[in-house]
Amino acid sequence: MTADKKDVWQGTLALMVLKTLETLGPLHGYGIARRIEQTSGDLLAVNYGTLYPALLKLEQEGYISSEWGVSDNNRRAKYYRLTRAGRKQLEREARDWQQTTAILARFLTPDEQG
Amino acid sequence: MSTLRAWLLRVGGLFGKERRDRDLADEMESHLQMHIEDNLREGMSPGEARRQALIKLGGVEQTKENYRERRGISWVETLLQDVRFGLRMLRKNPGFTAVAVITLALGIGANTAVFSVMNALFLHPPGIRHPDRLVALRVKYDKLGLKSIVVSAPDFAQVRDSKKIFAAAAIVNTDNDFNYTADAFPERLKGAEVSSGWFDVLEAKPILGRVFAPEEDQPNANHEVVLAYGAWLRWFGANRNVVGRQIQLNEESYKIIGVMGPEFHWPDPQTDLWAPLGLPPGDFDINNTFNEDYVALARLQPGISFAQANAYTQILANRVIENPAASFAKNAGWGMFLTPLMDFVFGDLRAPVLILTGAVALVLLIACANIAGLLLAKGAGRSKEVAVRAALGASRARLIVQALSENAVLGVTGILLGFFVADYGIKALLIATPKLLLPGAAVHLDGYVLLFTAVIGIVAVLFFGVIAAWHLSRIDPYNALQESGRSATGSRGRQQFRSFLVVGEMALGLVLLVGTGLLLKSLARIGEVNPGFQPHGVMTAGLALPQSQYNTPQKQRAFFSGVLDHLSHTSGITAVGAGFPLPFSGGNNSASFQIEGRPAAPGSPGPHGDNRVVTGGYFTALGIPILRGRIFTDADRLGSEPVAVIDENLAVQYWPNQDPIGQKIRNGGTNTKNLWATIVGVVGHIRFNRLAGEESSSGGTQSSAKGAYYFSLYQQSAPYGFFVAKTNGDPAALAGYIREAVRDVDANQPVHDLNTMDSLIANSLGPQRFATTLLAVFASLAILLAAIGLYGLMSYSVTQRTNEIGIRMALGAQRAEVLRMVLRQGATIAFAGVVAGVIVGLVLTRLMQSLLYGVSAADPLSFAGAAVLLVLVALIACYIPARKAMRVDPMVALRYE
Repeated sequence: MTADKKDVWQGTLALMVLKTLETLGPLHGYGIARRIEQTSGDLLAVNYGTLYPALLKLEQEGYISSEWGVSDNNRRAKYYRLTRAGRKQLEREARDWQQTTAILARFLTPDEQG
Repeated sequence: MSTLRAWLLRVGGLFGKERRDRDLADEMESHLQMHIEDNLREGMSPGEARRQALIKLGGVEQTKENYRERRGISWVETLLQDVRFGLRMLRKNPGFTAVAVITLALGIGANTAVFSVMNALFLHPPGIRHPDRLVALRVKYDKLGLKSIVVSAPDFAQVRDSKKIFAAAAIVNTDNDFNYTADAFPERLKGAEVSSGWFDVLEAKPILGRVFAPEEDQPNANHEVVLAYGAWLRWFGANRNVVGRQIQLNEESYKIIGVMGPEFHWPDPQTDLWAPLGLPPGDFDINNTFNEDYVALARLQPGISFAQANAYTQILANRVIENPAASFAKNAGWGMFLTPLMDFVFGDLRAPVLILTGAVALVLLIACANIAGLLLAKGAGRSKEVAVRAALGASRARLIVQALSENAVLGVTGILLGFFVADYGIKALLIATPKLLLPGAAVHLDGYVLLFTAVIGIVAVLFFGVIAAWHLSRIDPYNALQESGRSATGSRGRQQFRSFLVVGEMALGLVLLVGTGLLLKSLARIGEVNPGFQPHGVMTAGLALPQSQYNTPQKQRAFFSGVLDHLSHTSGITAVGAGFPLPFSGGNNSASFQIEGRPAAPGSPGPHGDNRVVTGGYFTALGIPILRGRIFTDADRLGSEPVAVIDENLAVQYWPNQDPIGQKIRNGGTNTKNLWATIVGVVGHIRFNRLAGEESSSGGTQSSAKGAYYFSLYQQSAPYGFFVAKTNGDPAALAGYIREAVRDVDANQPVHDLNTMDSLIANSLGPQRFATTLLAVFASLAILLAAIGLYGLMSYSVTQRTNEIGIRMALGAQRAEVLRMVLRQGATIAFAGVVAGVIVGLVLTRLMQSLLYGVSAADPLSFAGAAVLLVLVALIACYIPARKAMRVDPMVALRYE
């Protein structure tokens, strides 16, 4: 049961976006992209362009909302913030991921009794 | 929930594209600027900063594209885009658009028109809720050659009482018309006398008042009528208070108890009112089982199949003939059976309508092939564009879908226009066909017809769209982009394919032409059949004498002889007579008779023949030849010796070795009280209702060789009759004289059904005429379309070969040679079409055999004639392109790429 790689990537990207917004508060697209790159330790050389469709999807699903504002450098930018539904979704997904990794860890660790 | 929200927003994303596009562009620009600033702060040069930022962002267009896909519903947007593009293309090529749309409209319109006829007759007849649950009860006498005739009251009662099988049953007597006197002039209303279950069987509800109750279906209680919608409008001004009103019918008072809706007019579209049949209980006596007079219908109980009901009916019949008193019936091979009602009413038309359905399908096929050809030609001009699309990554499926969406616009326009064509076509059809042909059928465009039209429109678009698109998508982008003018291999393949299409069109056109030829020949053959009498110059008129006033044979005789006397003294009328039934007006009475001194052998049904009651003038006016002895004179009246005249067939059948003159016959069975009548003459046998094939009799069919015997009108009871008057001039002029003569004798009797004998015979050919006319129209349409297709192909070919023609001419070819070259190409296609058409035609015309008379389905003359016509049309179609080829100026052509 191999899920489509693109879908998995989009799923993790979405989760990372939500977490970023929770940690840093409202942020524009460029900021989110840099933060994700930073946090993942530059392992993910993410193509910044892929972020925008993902942001749109999250917005359509109601997990984030957007608003034009002004950045620190007095530049006009679109800011995204987490909604309440987004907060709940983040909790849910984070929990799912932790469960998955825990189960897999048990599987993939060599059997002590072997 | 979030997915739903997402989807709804995506639908919304179909709108406001420009604003959102700008939004995104702004956002991405702002993103870039921020990144560039960061890069500058890190120490990069402005150029490097920008470059790095752009690289990191990735493909801007790609991002925008992904974003856009996410934002809306991409396939809908693409579809709309394709449709918009298609509209633009059509506007830019008005010539192509006009031809394509009109071709499609004609093809679709013809199919819609024929389908609506089929729908109204067989599938969803108006005014009937469940046509497949309705059956007609029929009687047959196998040994007498009577295959399917009306039933008797006891037969009907058996069916009516079998409640488990039949939910409702009813009988109708349509011989009764009513003289309605409200003002000075009596009007003749067409009436149907029905048993009380009539409306129940057909599941029809009145719009005003009510219908008959069983108690009202009695001999004394039956002075009530239900009006038909048309009569209510015409004679009573749609007055809603008409229920309960008394009116005068046949000099008696009747009460109106209800009005039916506009859709209901069974048994006949001209029915003006219904009255209860009011049969006395005695009529249902078992001894009356073999006096058949009525058409009987029934509705099956839900869950009972037709086969079950039919089997049950036969069991009922078997029980009847087990009775020793029914020995005659048993000997005659009597039986009862069921026919589905729609077959019974429209059975004659089933074959013609089916054939026409096939014909219009062929026409549509030709139309689609034409449009496909046009699209291929147009597509040739767009090959570069398609190549670019393919090179940019469009899959074949995508190209096909795009082509189909463009053609969808064409299709929708064609469908809409097709409706108009069908509407006018049907109106024209109804005007052209005699009313007798489509009884009970109101052909109009209802929901099923619309659905059918939409479906075939879609199928047609798919058909020609896919053909064209598939062919276009086979373009090899590399070659196409390099293509400089005409030398690409793709275009030759396309040309060949188009030729193939045109050959197919010609073949189908030939098939339709052959079909038309066969029907025309068949019609001509039938027309040549000698009916056995002289119909030309004969005018006929019918009337019924109301019982209240003419209740004795003497009064009836006085009326008839009064009118005949009057008419015989009118100048211009060379002969006049009266009697019933009248040839070619749907009547014929089959009856058993006895021959004196020749009792029927046990086990044999006895002599049987067609019984007619006439004056001597009937024979003279109709020109029925007198072979032996004499015909009736005024001396043969009540009180003088009863006489009879028989026809040749009866004479040969029952008196093969002796002179029938002097023999005595009488109507009825052994216990009859009828007097013996002496045969005084033998006349020729005549065709009575059908020129060809089986005869009709008693509402059904019988062998055409059955003999007839005539009694004198003045020696029988004659409550109704027909006048026949012969003139050497135009018979239509006699109508006035007949009316006048009747009015002089009794001003209260309206004359009805004034028809010339010729028109009655012509009407009997209704179904064949109908099929032939329509097939001719469709065949012409098909040939026209095929010719257009050939013209388009040749025209295009000449344009393609302009270069080549120029070279040939420069090298010394004469114009005549060029002409021959073009014509040869056209002729090849035409001949190929003829050959293919003949092969297909030989197979398909077999299906028409049932409509043909005296003509074989493989009639060589028809095939040859059609082939010649087709080739001629093809040559005409090639004429203009050929002339264009001849006029090519080599100097211009050689420079033409």
